[in-house]
Amino acid sequence: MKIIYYPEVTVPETCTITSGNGVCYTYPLENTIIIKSNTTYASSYSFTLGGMTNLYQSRTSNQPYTEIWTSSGTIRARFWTSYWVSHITTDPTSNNALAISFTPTLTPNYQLKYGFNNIARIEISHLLQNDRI
Amino acid sequence: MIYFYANWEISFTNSYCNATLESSTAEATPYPYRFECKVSGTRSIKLYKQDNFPAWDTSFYNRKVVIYLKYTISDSKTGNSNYWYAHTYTADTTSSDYRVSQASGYFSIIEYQSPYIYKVNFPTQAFSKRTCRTSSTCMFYGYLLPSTLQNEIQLDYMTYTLPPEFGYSKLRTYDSCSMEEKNDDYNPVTCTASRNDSDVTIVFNPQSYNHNYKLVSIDTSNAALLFKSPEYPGTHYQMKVNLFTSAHTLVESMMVNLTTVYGDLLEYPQMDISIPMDAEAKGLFAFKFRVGNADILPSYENSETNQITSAIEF
Repeated sequence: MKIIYYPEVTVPETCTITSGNGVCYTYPLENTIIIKSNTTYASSYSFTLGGMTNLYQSRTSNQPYTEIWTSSGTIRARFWTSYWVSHITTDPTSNNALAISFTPTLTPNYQLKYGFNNIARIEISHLLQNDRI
Repeated sequence: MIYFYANWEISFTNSYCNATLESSTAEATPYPYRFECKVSGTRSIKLYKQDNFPAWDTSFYNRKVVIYLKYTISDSKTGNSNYWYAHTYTADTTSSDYRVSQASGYFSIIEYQSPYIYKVNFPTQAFSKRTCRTSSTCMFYGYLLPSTLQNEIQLDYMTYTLPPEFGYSKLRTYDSCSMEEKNDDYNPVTCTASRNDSDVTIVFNPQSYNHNYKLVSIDTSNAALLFKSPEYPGTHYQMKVNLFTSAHTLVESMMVNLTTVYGDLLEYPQMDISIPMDAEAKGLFAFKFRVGNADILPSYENSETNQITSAIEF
């Protein structure tokens, strides 16, 4: 079984099957995982991979897909998987919401005014979530 | 790239944009880590990391992005649904495919709050006559807007310590004090005088008090018992205003000028006194001097006779 992710998914250097009877191989440059089953299955069966990381940005256009290959090297089927991750609105480490606060600088403790060149200090918290921004 | 925008009627000033990453003192040598900040639209900006930006590490999760912006708020927009958004992208695009994180926030916009200054009153004296001139009787009149937010500290009463140069009657209670506000809520105030250490302090005790604009007057119905202004004109007679909580905690204290005294000084350098030169004959003593002038507020007459007079004693 060959799982081809799209580039935004970080495929681990070491492949780990946390449940399921098979052997796992990883190809980070190709964003690909190959699982070789130790036996044949006539019905549905689950493999669980460990050490996988969610993609680092939201992605709606591409989808990962899975190919089933026989031991003789022929492809039997290809399945497209709907896999969409939303952008982050809550900091995963602190559980704090990503928030914006405003502090007027010219009129401290007063309202910002209509028709007036307001200068505000704007603070955005927990915004930089990874190094690719 | 960080894309920051307001989702409502607002316009940024193109030339004013400064954005930094929250930095420690040791890192800020001499400046904190800065973003290149571009106003990209009427209500949007884009931030780019500069070349010398530090390598990302996990501490960045908790670092704030700080932006200084100058902007104008549309007159017609009020309420609290005026959301701002900050989106981060892995490329210089605003396509949702490349979005990493989103922060949002807003501030409330309320209408101008001002008391009804157009209310018709029937005072015992014309307002123009209550302009404080030297040695005349007067009342005090001014705006009050606390800096303290009501949801943080509730103010309960306020005191006005009058300038000692003014003369006072022996009144204990001033019966025409008022505190008018934006709405027509009945809000009677009691206004009492206390005298300590030669200071006269007028205490305002409103039944309830919100922190919006108030039009405050310290007055009494008997004109003969009003305050008497000093002989010396000027704007330097400062009134001290203290704002207190119900637990008598002083929250705000300020000096305000509600007590301008109009008039002008007789200028001694301009005086010229001539005495008769012949001691044996009767003659005239000539006194020449220049009288002052006073700025009169627009639309107000100087007095009933449109004249200002001064008594000069020799």
